[in-house]
Amino acid sequence: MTTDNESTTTLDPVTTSSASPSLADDQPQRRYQVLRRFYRNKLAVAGLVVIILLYILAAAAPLISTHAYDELTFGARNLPPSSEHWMGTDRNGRDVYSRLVKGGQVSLAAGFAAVAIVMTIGIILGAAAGFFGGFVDAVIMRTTDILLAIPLILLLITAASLFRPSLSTTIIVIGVASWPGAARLVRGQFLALKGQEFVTAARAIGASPWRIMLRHLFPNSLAIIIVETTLWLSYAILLEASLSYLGLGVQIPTPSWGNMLRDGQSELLFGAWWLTVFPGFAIFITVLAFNLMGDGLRDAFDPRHQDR
Amino acid sequence: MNSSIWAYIARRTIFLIPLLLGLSLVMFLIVHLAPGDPATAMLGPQAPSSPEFLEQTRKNMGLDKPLPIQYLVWVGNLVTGDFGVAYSFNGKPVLALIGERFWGTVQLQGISLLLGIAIAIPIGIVSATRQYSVLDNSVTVSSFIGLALPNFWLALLLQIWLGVQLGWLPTISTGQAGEPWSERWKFFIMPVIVLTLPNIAYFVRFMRSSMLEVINQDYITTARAKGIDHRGVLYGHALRNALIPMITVIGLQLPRILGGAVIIEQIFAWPGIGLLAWDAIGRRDYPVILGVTMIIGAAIMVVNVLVDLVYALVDPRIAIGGGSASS
Amino acid sequence: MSNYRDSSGQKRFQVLSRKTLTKMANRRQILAATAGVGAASLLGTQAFASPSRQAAYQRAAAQEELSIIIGTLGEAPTINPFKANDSEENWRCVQLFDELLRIDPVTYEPIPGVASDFTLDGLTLSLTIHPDARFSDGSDVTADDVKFTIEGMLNPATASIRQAKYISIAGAQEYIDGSADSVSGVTVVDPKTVTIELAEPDAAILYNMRFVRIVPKAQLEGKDLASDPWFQNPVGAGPFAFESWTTGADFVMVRNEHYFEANKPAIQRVTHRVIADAQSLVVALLNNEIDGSNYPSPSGKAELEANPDLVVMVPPFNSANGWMFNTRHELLANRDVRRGITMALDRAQFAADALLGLGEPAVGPIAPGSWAFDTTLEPLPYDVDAARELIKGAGAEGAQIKFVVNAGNIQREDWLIYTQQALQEIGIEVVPETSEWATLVSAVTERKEFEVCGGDFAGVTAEPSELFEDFHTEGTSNYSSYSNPDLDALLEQARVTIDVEEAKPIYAEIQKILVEEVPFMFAWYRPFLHTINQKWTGYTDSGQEGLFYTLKDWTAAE
Repeated sequence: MTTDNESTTTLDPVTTSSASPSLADDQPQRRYQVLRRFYRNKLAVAGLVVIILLYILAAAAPLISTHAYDELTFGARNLPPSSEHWMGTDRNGRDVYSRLVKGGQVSLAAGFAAVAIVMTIGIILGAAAGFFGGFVDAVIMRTTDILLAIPLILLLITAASLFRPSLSTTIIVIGVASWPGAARLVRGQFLALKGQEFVTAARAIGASPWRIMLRHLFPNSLAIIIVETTLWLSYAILLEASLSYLGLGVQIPTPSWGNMLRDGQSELLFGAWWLTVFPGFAIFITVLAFNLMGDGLRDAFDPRHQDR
Repeated sequence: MNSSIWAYIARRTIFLIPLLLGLSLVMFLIVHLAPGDPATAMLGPQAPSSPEFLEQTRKNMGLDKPLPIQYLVWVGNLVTGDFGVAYSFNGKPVLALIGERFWGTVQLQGISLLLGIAIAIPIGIVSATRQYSVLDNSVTVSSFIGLALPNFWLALLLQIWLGVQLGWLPTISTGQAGEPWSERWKFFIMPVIVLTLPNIAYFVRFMRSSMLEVINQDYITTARAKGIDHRGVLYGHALRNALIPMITVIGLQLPRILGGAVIIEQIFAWPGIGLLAWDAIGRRDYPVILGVTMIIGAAIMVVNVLVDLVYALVDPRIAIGGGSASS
Repeated sequence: MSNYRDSSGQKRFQVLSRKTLTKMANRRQILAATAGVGAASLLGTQAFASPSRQAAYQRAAAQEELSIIIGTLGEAPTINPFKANDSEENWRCVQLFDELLRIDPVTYEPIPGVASDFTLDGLTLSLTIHPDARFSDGSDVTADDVKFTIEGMLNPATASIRQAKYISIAGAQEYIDGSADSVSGVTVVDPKTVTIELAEPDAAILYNMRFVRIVPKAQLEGKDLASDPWFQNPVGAGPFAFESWTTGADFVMVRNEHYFEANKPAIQRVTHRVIADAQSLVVALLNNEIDGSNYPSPSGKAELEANPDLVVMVPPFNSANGWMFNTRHELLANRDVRRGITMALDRAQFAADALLGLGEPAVGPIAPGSWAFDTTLEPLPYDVDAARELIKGAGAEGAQIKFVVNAGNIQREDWLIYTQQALQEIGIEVVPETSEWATLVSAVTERKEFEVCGGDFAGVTAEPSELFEDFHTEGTSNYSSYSNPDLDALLEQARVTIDVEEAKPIYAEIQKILVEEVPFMFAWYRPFLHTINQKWTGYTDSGQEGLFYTLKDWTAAE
């Protein structure tokens, strides 16, 4: 799916060539089949479990922390992990574990919010482009062409750096810069569905475009949208971490996994491995879990591509 | 068939012009509407805060004219091939700067791409032909890991382990220019490892699924039923058909190569386009920022057209009409 | 293994026999394995045979010329002496162009430079250019070049940041206004003598002569000094001549064969190498990839000192950091609020902890090495209770104030984090912000849009009269908008008091006021580690100018 932390989900031929709509009547039985296929995929289930765990931990951050995440302790610089500080302390004597948990809250929430923006814009514009076609489609597609011509990381760095970097800037920038991928996917799906008989039938009986979109096209695109959302979540978290690592995302003293890595980097030279290993591992596990789950969902929704 | 292909090429090429204009407008707006400007960025805290002084500095940079005029002047120059001169970087012409750094990025990314493909194809094939085996499972898990690993994390860890603690490899790459090649390859190792791993992971998965899809097609069974030699079937039909989408996917990775891995270049101080863009952004060096994004953007657009073309040529089922085929 | 089922679910014959598949896959695996082992062994032998640490010295030994590699942080934007601003740009310009008058690296007093002799008599400054002074292309340095350079700096079209330093020259203002074609106060007496008449006494004029980095009039007359391409391949009279510059990588200079000081420099090639961050500098030093640097991260002190090849020096303090208050803010305009904040911060503790014991708490605006530094000066005490009283009395309890520092500077970030926690004790809620450098500078210097800003936007080391610009009501760098008529009078007086002994008590008074009124809290000195490989000798370390100011005097140690 991703390479060099760039998402090209829409270009994976497996997804595009096997988009399979189903009729609304089939829903309950199909849902059951989908779930069953998902549960058979051990890796995907593992991913789901990890994600649920992470979100619970993040939500419960204040309860499971051992110290206040911003509490400084003079004289406790860069202590290695111990029973007092489970993951050691950082340069300012703050407890790494508590910061990790709080940072998880920040990173996961940021990822979620960013993806919400991406999917909202992407679905609306993609649906409009796919359904209405013609001029609307052309305008939207040209805009995506332009936005996709700039490497995402470069665009994000430029935007985040030039406008004041902060958590909200990060979320908005990721959301606004990344929607083209999602839009294209939804557009493709709507295009494929548009030609189906049930749409022609609906049109024949005089259903309004909104009704067609909401009641027919959208529910049948849910599968793809869900898969895309999950995969985008993993990517958004990685993007936020990258930006924070560069100093353009969440700003200190608010912890985020990315800026904890940045802070810890300067101490790595002098042996403080716990400052980089733990946050980096947290990012890794989260992204992995979302990837596994997204992949599992993709397989569950579409058995024909026989990948697993 | 032929004429529609030429028509397609012509149409996409002509379309490039408004796209490039649109790109130039978007980047120009982003860059100029942001707070902070090159004059104060370069002068720093010692800048006398007298308005005349800042005004004069801006005038020297051409920033005093109203925005639309600045845009038109810039685009006008762009069309004649004049990308302007950098504000910092000692006033070097932008094209010269980009030229200096371009090769650095291409070198690194190109090697990582080729290495990634070279390693991924055999693994993907083996994995597909032994589906569900232990090997296949471990390959799949490894590729997931390879894709989920944050590359900057890996880079940091490698740098400390191989560069500092073991002292085997140089940690940063400035200064490699004067070295003979017997020493110089060492600078490549760590960045190439970091960049190649996700490449391998991605291409392995792709190769594998592509191969599987082809192997399980009916026509393969038919060929076999006709008694064609197994190996011939494998290499002849299956591989060829599995490789075709691979080519287009590789083509689609080219934009990333051109964009440069900014973070990796920063960590290893690799003199490439990514690092150039990063430095320029920090200094609000507008001509450089705009020049880099325009060149990369143009290159990506051209590559997209080429890839869509190859895709369309190779698979006649894909319609050539309307927008991009890659959706 | 691969069992094929067709679309009806019927199991068909096996697509490929297990044996065949295994054979094919096996062959590929073997190939891959062999390749892998081969590569690994190659890598292994290379790594053990010539570890990178040795490589640098093997190369240097092979070459015959004396060559030094100096590591620096951050790429210098330009080497145009009219625009050069930060310390690295300044250093490069000094090496390429030398200075009309130099300063002593330790005492910062003006000493002869390209001008071998100078006398300041009241309002008249006469300079005699060294008879052997030549540009690197062989042409003589003449008084015309000096006048041309000074006029270039005053010319408004150049927009040189040094313009204000020469305003005191007679005729300078008329030249700037455009009513005169040249500066009447600068007279070319003969090809090697210049006389400068001042319109008013200026205590800093000798010091400011060091910014006159002479350029050849013959090559630059009539050109745009702000941006002419000449500056991409400049010709100067300094000890080294420009050879090449790969931006973001190496800046290379070679010995100026026409340099006027006999047998100098000994070094034939200087490579100024940009390295991304302070930690990498430490690593590069430890690995002998570079010879020396001013900027390795202080947290690497133990490693650097343990290395037998390196000499580590802690230079005298130079830049005082702390908090700059915007006195136009409704709360910060009140002196008690500023004093309260200052007294709630334990500088000694911070210096001991976050600055690794290398930095020290600061006292006032003048660095300890300067002659004007008042050794009897007492800072405001660390007293949390008194601070709380002051804040309460000013009605500022519960106030939210924005504190901003530039992102990426570890010590300043730590200072912000510490301040946030410390001020909670006295009822001030700190809203922390880190801003990118360019944005911060723009906001502070141009629009004065900030509440409290961290950094070294004010404070002096070598030339105390620069305090005028920082704190006088009319000062050009008075970003805190501080205005105090008593202080103004003292600053004006100090600026024209040439005699050092007379000026000292004035500066003592100035420092006292600044400490009492605290428009800028001078909290701690930033520690540096100047590191050099022990194969070099002849250097003099300088707090303000760094280790490499006197590079032309260096030689290889025996």
